[in-house]
Amino acid sequence: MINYRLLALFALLLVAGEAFGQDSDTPVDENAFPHNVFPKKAPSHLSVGLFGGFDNNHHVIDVAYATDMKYTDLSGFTAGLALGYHPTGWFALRADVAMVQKNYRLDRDNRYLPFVYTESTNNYLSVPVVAELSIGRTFRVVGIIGGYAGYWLSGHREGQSLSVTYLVTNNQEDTFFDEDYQFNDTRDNRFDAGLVYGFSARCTIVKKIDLSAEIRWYYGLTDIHKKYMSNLNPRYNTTRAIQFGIAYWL
Amino acid sequence: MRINNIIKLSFLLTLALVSCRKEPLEAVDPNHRFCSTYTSQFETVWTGIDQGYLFWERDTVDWDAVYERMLPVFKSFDAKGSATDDELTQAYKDMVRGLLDHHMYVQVKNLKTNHAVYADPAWDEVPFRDYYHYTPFDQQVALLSSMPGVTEYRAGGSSFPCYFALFPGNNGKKIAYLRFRSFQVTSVVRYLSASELAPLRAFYGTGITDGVTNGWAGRDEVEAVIIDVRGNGGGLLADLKPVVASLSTSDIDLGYSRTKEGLGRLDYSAWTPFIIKCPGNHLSGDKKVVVLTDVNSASCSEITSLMIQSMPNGTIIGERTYGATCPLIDGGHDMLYSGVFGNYDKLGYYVYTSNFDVVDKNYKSLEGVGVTPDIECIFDFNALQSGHDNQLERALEFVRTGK
Repeated sequence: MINYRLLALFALLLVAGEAFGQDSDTPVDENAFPHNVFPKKAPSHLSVGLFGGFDNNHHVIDVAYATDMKYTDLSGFTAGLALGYHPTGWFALRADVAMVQKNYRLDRDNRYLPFVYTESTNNYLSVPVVAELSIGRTFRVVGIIGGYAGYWLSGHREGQSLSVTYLVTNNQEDTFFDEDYQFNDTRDNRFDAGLVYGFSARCTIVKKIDLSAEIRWYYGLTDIHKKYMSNLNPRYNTTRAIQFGIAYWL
Repeated sequence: MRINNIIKLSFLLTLALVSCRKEPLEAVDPNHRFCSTYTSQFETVWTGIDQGYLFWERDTVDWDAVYERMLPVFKSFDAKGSATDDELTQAYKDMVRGLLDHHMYVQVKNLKTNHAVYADPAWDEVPFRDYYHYTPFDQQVALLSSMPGVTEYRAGGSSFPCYFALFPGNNGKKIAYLRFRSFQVTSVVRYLSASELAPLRAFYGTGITDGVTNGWAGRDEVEAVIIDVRGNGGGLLADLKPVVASLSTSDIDLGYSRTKEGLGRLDYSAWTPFIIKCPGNHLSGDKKVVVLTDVNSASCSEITSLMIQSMPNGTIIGERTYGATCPLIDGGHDMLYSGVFGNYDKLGYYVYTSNFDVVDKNYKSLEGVGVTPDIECIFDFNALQSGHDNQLERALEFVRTGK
């Protein structure tokens, strides 16, 4: 399947790369192309920042013949710290420490179990390391791409489940549950890693302070379950986040 | 290297990584697969247990190793074109040996002889307990009417064997006794005759499923009730509220239950409270409630034992029970992707297995173990031959003496 977001991102990065390729030893006019859009110098080599926002997670699983199991996306929150290293004005490396929620809901499209559902809230600590390429000076568009590694810190489940009590009472009040997720060392792969990519719009509002709005995708490449049985279908998370941040040039 | 070359290289690397997600596997629905070979029968039964068996979190059987070990056996049956019933039975016994589920049995049609073969993992364990015995239900109930001091006696019909007796207690009070062969009360009240329902009405009252109303159990002159589930293999969960919880004075909290939530062995739903609510019509006061068990008390009988054990005035007397404590609903596989699957007549295989995992309030399971009585009393065959039901006599002694 073609990932158009990734294609667009790389098109942006290639344009940036080609433009930078015109760089030479001749004296630099900071107001002429390419340095008016790909500034050679950053205000500082280092920046630190805070960000927070919302995310929305897509749980990827093939349910095989269990076709009444319907997984849907759920929203969550994300927040973190960012540390940037800016060797030039148009290129940077950035490392974040982020809390990312990867939530989803399971419904049963089954006439006997119309009330059964599970909402899963999953909290991940993620450390994305990304390359950034910027276009612009005061107002910048930034493409980001890199990888992340993380750890599934905790989870919570709530919903309704077919229970023995319900079989006795036939009362739906006896089907509710609300519990912290109990990890199983045999089943759960708490290590999480994958790709991260996205776009950001940034603006320098006052000297040394940037504001940003960013959309990014966490594309998980690690199955959330270990391969503990031979016939196990993999499960992945793809999470998109919209986050707003503030950065300070050191 | 120019920066755009680095970016192009990154592009290729990223595309390669994006494709790193594993492809889903072909999954066979074990509930609806027609099998024309011994091997496909085996693979379907194996897959159904692989995906739908409830106890993989606790079971110690290496199911993947079972597949590797047993596949050549079934392939050899296909290679020679037949298997005797004994060979096929032995192969399926070898396949399921050691599984924890004491409800489970596998029924498969021998494609050559068209005979049914069975394998039951509990049968590799229960008969080898040192106290194991067959429950002589008919011989035991035959003694009831002639036991010392019995003042009331009712017997139901053969379609629903059920017995009521009233024994003498302390200080002129009575002990109400009820025994039935299976938990079908909420079903049989709809169609059995008045004479066949007489034991139940004598114990609970006219409505039977309305709980304890105008029957002997609720009367002031009765100081204790005894529910006898010896040889009772279980039945309808719906019975638990009117038949058992009505003997309590409050709701009964047994722990938690869960089921499967996917095709992975460890895809479980959350735990939900397993609470049986006390009906409006229930025993009052501090009457003793005794349940009499033996090694063949299974399923609902075991839940009944746990319910009565959890009552402040409840006591289990008899033997450790069968160990099939986790219930099931027929036809559950299409709903829960666990439990009973297959169709013997249409598909040539059928597997009976639990689809509700039940644990106590400390998340301890008794599946494969059984319920241990508060007062152990092992069945004495010689006593029965001489006209004594030693376990019932022990229960009466406990009520009368408190010991």
